[in-house]
Amino acid sequence: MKIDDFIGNIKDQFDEPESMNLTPMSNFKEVEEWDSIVAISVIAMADSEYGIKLTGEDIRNSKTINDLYIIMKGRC
Amino acid sequence: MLTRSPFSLEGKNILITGASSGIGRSLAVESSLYGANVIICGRNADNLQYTFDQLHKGLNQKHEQFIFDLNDEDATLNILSLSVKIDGLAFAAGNDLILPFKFISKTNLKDLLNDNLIGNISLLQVLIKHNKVAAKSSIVFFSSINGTLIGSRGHSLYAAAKGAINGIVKSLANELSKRKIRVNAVAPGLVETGLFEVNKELISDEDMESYRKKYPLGFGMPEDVCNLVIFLLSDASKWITGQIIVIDGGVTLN
Repeated sequence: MKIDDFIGNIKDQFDEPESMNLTPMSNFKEVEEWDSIVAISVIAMADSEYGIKLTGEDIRNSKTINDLYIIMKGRC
Repeated sequence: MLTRSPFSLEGKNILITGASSGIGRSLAVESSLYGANVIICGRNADNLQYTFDQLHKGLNQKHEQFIFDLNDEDATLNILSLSVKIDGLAFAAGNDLILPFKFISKTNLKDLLNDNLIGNISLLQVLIKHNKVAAKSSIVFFSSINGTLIGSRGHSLYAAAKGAINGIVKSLANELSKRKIRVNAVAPGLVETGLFEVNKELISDEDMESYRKKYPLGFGMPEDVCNLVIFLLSDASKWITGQIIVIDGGVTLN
């Protein structure tokens, strides 16, 4: 799992991924369009793309994309 | 002289699916308090036994329980061992899934339709075919405001299943009216049950709070919905059929 691909997959859960500039240190929950459906989409993406189960709590406990990436890596 | 209230379920045999948890469990207990002989069905033996233990057991009341998965057609045939005819049926068995449309699989679709629609109507068909449903009985399905008046994001399959229930209610009400059997559905808004707890895990506290504010009367409690179902099961509603009755604390007013 590469961080760049992971960021790309996170972006894809937003309505307009092309115009987004996300880095590993981006606080993804502060993106304007972030809401509960995007959160559920990120959980569903982790499952379908990587076969990894993320929970609502994982999302709540993560601030940056890198935080989430570390959780994912730990479950690879 | 005291006469029996039309709102009573005294002497009625009421079958409830999904009675091992949530609204189904509350409905079973409430129905027993209204005097019904309750026939509870569910797939989890321990949880169903817990419901059974909670039932009010009056002098002339006789309750029964059937453990089966509604998706296991052969297992559901055990219901034919019932020696009584059923006067009321409430199909509380159901399941929810919050998943954005692009992630939905065919398995998700089949599972959700099975859990909310197909299992319940297959059981009803078995009971009708074998003449276990009494004339003038009342059948109540569980719909939702989702698929009836609104469509929450991430709930497309759930809304589809509930919309399908609304359709079958209309047609069945007409078809079964010859025997004066009534068919209705309740369409609740958000009720604080086990399914609600699952949703809460996925949604932030702030989102949940702003969602709560959309409900003029707050979120529902299981008994709020049970009272409406009991009314529909009772003779007090004997002129109501084919209706999808919304009960949502006013959320769809805005």
